[in-house]
Amino acid sequence: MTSLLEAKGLKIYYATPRGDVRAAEEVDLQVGSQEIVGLAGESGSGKSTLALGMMRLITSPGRIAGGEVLFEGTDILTIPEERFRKDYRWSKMAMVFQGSMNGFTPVFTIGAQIDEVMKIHGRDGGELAVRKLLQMVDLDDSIARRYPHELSGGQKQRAFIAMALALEPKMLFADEPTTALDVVTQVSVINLLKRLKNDMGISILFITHDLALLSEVVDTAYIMYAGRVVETGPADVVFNRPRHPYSQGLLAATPTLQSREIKGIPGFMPDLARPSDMCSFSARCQFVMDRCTVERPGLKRTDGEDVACWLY
Amino acid sequence: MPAGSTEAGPGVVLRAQDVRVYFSKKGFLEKGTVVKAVDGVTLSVRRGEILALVGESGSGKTTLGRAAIGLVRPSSGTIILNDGAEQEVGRARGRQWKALRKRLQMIFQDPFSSIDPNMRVYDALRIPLAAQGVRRREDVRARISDVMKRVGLPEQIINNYVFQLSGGQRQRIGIARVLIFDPVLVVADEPVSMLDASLKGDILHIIQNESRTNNVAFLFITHDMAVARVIADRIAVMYLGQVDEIGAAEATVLDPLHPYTKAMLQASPVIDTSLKDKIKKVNIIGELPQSTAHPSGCKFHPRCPYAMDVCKEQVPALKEVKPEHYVACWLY
Repeated sequence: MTSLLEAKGLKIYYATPRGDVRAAEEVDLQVGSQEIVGLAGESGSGKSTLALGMMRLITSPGRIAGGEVLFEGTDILTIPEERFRKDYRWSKMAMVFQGSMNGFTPVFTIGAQIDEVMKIHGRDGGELAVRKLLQMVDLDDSIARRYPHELSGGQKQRAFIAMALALEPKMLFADEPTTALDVVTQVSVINLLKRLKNDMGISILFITHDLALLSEVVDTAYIMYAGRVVETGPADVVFNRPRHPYSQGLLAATPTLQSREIKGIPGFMPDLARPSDMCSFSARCQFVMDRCTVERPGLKRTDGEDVACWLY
Repeated sequence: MPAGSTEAGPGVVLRAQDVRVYFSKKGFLEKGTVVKAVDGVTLSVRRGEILALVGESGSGKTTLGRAAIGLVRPSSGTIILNDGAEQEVGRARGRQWKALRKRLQMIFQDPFSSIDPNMRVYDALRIPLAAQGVRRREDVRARISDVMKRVGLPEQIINNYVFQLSGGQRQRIGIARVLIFDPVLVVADEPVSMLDASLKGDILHIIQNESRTNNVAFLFITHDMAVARVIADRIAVMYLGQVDEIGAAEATVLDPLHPYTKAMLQASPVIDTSLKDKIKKVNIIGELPQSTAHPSGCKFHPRCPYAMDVCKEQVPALKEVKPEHYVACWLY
């Protein structure tokens, strides 16, 4: 599979009085065409920062401190902002957020707001185009004439996805798109994402802290910890026989209907403003060895996936 | 009145009897419309038990929890606390109410907004003690250090400010502040839904431990069936202000009776990579109706795949279908 989107050695830092907080450090990530890639990790692991970085939405005090982001082979970090805005953002790559259902302005109808996105980007728009988009996300035509406050959370989230699809992007970033929704509504949004992939060939980077949810959706999974990717591979490998002790811990800490067992991961994430040479998970790891505290393991290919751990 | 789930036996600490909580909307256009947040709930909580209240947003689970500890007064029905002697929660006044409040506590969802960040940990725990009349320095120290141990907070953070602590530590303080009152019943309103997976387990263990070793009963409010399975002894499933099903956690999750419980379980994510190319089917139609316009008969009937004529007209009562497993559904 050729990559549609690829991050190479991407570094995103936030300047603070204590020094740079290294939210994403040397991240390599690939999204193939017509692929759903999952990005998981706890809050502060850098997963949302990474998505914002690839959309070039990092604002001061944040900055992209190094690396490249290739979209269909073009480094999109080097092209001028005006051209990026016109040719890439929203037209080739769009984004749906956790709170995007609150991203509609309350004073215009849903239809008018979707129409505006198309017109601003030089498309024809119009009632018919809006109706087609709403159908794509399983919403009734009549939604176009309604105001945001008249819709339920799930309807608004789907309407926002319709708006994200307005310019027929190839790539969709979905950052916790169902976190604020009820489980039953969540299923309809997840099914929609799968249909976008299967029927329209859209690639999706799906970001969530919910591993159970992620396992049901993605082709490839990335587990992030303290700004770095610690494990990545095909979903069935990462979820069914995770190698990195952090991934194992995260899975054991995920409540599922299958068992009553649940374990926490003791300890805290290290301070990202104080870079060190050791493995960032070593302080919390039950398998820690001498080597882990002096040298950081890089991602290494083992058994069909990449793991950054000295155990392998 | 269904027996088992509502019995007044010696093991019961709290009994809700046909509790209704209605709110009238005050808006200019909506004047006079009534929101039936809780609409006829009868259930009991046993000493030291964890009873999970599970439902979607708008199901009334939080309102029921708040009513259980007297934070909102029921429009009708009674809530009886059996803590040595029987007492009606909503009726207590003055001194009596103050004494009652200590025994009934609440843990909130958001540890960032429920504790004053500019307080030191010590003060956050000292003030509730002072409210109980514990003021001698050694006593205060001893009680605080005991409760910090119980929630897994290291002693050395005692002089830190709350804003210096992580979300997980703050939630532990939220729990410590509650436990320091020696409560008989705690309403825990989504206490782990804002926490990372790595912390959830620890917080759930603290709650479980308190129920087992100190006999604290918990009304554990959650929208997550998997969390309910992990933590609870029994699960009550709520839909539009009513309890549709109540039973042992294991039985409710593995052998659900109500079509709504079944749908919630179908919808809950599990670790299963074989689902990735499948469209998940949930046996449920449409979305939650508006809070002001509840359907007649069984409130679930417009969304239920098995709806019959009787469901549209008559409200099903909770019925014991299997031992200790109750369901309100005309199918049974």
